[in-house]
Amino acid sequence: MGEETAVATTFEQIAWPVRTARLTIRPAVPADLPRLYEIRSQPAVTHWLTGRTTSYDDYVERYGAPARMSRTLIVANEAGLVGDLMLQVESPWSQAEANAEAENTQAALGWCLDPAHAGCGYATEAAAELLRLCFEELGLRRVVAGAFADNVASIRVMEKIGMRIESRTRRASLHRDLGWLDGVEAAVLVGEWRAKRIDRP
Amino acid sequence: MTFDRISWPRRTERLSIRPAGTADLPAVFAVRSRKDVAEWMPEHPTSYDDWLLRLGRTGAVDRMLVVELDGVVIGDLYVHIEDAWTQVEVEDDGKRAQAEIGWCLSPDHQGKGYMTEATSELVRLCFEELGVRRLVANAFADNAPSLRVMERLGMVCEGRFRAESLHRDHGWIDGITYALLRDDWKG
Repeated sequence: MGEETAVATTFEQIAWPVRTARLTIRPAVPADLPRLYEIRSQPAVTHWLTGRTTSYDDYVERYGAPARMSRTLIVANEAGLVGDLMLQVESPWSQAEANAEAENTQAALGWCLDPAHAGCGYATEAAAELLRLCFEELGLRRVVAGAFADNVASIRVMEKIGMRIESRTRRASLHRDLGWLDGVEAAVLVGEWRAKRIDRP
Repeated sequence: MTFDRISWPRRTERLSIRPAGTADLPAVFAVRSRKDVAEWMPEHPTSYDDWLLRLGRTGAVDRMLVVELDGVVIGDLYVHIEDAWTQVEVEDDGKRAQAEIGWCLSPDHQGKGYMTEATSELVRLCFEELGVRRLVANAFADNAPSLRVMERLGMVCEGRFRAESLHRDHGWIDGITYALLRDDWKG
């Protein structure tokens, strides 16, 4: 319950919906679940996702839970929902004496776009806006994202929005079909993001 | 629990290694509470009683081994067996598949290769007795002595995280991660 409240507070700090050139971003609601399932149950999508769901009920049980929904954002274009984003505020590692200062200063991001809309830059447009929300609206100091090293589409998004690959962990992550694979983690600091930003108002 | 299946103590050329018992804790505290030791450690304990309470609460004492030289505790080792990251459908195959290791040696005994000797045995235990497939060690990037131990163990640097870890005196500084796969280990 405590965790739920803390996460809900994260989204409450932002005025929704947030608009980009082509997209609208807003917190997920239960009515989004059927369309999300339609996207997330496609084999090309589940290949790299943490969990593969086998039925809608299974999906709702896992992803419809309040703790999960409260860190999920919806990405929509004019025609409707095209994907979702994950925003999880977390505490980076710190020495015990500095725990309080480090608490909730970092976010982990994720994204999942409908392959029917791949190749038009939606993931990059949505993720870039998500990064801006983390730094400008939530006041975070560092943002991270992780992926299987072979998930080139996702890594390309990380790099396009200004994240740096910081680690490649060898055969550290177990894939359901491909066995032990390398993982990568990317990060960007608020100062780096500000310095690189060209569309600053 | 982690250590139950192993027969103790383990002896190396000069050292003896065994799970920490209550009687060892004053000696471990004497090392850990030194300011020069605490520089790179996760905490700087100043009260023995508070430190004991935290050890019990976090279960850290169950992951602690002590290193003895001629019957005197000169440092400690840390082993935390973890589940590897997996996709949901194969999570059983990732259970207890990896371990994080760490170490702490009294500055009075540094420079003689004791930590490399003790951690080499620790690596062997993890791979041969505990069935771990991947070992990880993390440190502040400026903790040069610890990085040297990792390299001597054959661990490979897998990443450097910019201004990622908060140090009580130095602020946000880089962290570094090393790993060793059982398949690459030349024990």
